[in-house]
Amino acid sequence: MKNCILILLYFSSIVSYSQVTFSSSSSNTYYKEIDGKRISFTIIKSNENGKENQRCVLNNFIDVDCELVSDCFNKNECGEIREILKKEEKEQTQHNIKNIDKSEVFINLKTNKSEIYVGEQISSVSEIYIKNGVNIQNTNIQPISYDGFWEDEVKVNSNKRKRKIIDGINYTTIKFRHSVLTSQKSGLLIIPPTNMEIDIPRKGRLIQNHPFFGPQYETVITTQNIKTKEKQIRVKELPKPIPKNFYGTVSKKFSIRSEIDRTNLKTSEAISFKVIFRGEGNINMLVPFEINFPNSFEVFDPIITDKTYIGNHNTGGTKIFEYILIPREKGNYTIPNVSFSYFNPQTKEYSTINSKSYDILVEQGKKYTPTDTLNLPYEELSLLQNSSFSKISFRKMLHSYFYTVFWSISCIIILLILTSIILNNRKTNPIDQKRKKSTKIAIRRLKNAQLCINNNNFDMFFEEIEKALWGYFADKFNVSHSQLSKETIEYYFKRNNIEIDLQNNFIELLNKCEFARYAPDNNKNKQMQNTLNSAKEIIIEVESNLKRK
Amino acid sequence: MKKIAIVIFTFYSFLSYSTDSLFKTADTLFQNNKIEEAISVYKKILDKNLESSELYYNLGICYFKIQNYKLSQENFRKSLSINPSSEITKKRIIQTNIKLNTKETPQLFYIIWKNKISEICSTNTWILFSILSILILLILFIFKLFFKKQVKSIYILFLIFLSVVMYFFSSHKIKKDEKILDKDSINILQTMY
Repeated sequence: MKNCILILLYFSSIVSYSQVTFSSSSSNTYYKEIDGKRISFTIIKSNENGKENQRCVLNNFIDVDCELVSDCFNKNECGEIREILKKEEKEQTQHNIKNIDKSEVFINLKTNKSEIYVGEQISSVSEIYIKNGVNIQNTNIQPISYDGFWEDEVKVNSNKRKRKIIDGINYTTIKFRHSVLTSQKSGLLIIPPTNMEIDIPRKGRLIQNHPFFGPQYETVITTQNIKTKEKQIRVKELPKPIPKNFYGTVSKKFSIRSEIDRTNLKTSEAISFKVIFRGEGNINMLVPFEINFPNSFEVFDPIITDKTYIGNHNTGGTKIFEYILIPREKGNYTIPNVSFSYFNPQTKEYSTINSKSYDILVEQGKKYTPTDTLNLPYEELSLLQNSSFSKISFRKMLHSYFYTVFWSISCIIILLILTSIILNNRKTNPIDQKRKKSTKIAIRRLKNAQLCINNNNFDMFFEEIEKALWGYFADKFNVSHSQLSKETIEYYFKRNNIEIDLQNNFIELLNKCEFARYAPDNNKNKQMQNTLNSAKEIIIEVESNLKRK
Repeated sequence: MKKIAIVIFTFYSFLSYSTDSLFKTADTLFQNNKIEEAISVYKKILDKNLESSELYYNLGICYFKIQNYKLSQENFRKSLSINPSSEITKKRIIQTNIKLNTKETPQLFYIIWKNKISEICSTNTWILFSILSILILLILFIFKLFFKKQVKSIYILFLIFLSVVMYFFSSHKIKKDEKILDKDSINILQTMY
């Protein structure tokens, strides 16, 4: 409370500042007599950033249309102003605001009803009234306890202040607590009085009479203890008989609706079934109740979506219970309509509302196996009938013999492979094999010459053949290129016991190549092929000769 | 009632030595809530060097009923290793695990795969298949090497691979069986199954 007032003071200071800096205003107060009462009008003219504004205030606190004021003054048509005044008077009497002890500060707690049914809601507003011109400093209000009620607090903007006139005295009122109360039990419920302590600074004795600043007084802080009046509320029992589907809802307006996401499905698939309640009253206290779903449906606890709000006099809104249903057996089922009764305090009768019922077709889907293994079918211990016995010794024997049988067969296979390899080796002629290898070498050596035949390159061909033969000889007998001559051929061939015919052929071929390079023949192609073949033959023969030893 | 049952049981055992009737006797003893006696009859069958998955299963049920969950689980495991396709036995093992308050230790994925594959068929079938595959391989080699028949090498490679796999699984199964079946102690390896 202290904070509120501080904020108020702060705000007022800002307002006054803003008037100085940004705008200018002037106010005039006029009086008019209506029905023998003196009514004051204040006309405030303000100039804000070049914009002219005119506000008319009645009795210094109610905003009135300026036309009404001018009508009242000029044409004496004060009907609407009269109405406004009456309304104000009515409000004051209705809320029983009478300042009996005429104190400067008091609290008023007002409720909108004084006689209700169990479950009905009332609003309770607490306001603090401060006489104009009185500053209060510290406020200490004890919290108000509402026994026998469920309280929903409404958010209060305590910066907002109003002006009210009671018995001709101006008061500033600040709302500091606003609750919606739901009665929980019947009987005479009492909202007990609460205490409030406030400090009010007052003018004390004169300290000095300053010639310039005027008289200065001491401030004396007096602490006042204020008690609120207690409030009595009669809570009536609900009329009997209470219908079967009544769950304590008291409302003026209520509706029920149900939604289902599908009606055609397979077993073990899920249905989402929503029951939607909408209305005002104590819907916030509604809890899920039992709905008779078919027996073969697995029902999970509903998900509750609360979309309720707190209004000025009651709560209201929507509440959704979403049930997840899983049918376990195929067939045709009906989800019955949800029947719901509520009490209407206006008509003082119970009314019953129903939601739609749904037909559901369930087809056979995947087979459902309960996840809980301790379920009934396995708890039932039953013996199995015997099919056939087998000998334990036979099993053991089989197991031990398996290894030996398997490994012996694999050994046989390996032996077979080995013997076949040996036999194959014996069958092949060793001379043929050697010849095969020598041919490979010759072909490799004479590869370039073969290329020359393909390209019809006559000059290059004999050069290549010669090069190949010399190269072969040099590589084979490890002779350096500088020592290559026909004499070395003879020497090395003889040393390696190569037949003389072969040696002659080798030299002859070399000579032939030399001749062919400078004396071209007519039949070039045939000559080339022949030379290549003989060169190949010679290399093969030399190789075979060498290997024979 | 108990006496009558015992009399019936002894009468049966003397009258016929056939194991099937012994099995039935145990069943009736079980129905008459003579669990201990039923167990002894089942053990008698085992002493005769005979076994079957149903026998082990029934023993497991008997032990379960007298709340000896450890022995019950042991017998269920034996039953499962003879007949790996039995769903109810698997569920019973889970049930005994719950009763014993033990949890299956988590295993590496390849061990789980190995166990799953080896449970496709019983040990004898695995042995049969592995012997068959290696015999076919042998015959193929004989044909190829001695009769000079053309055999595609891919077949041979496939058969070699097959027999190696078969050998691996059958030896795995045999080891597992030896661990479970030829064990009379109470301690049971958790890793099995």
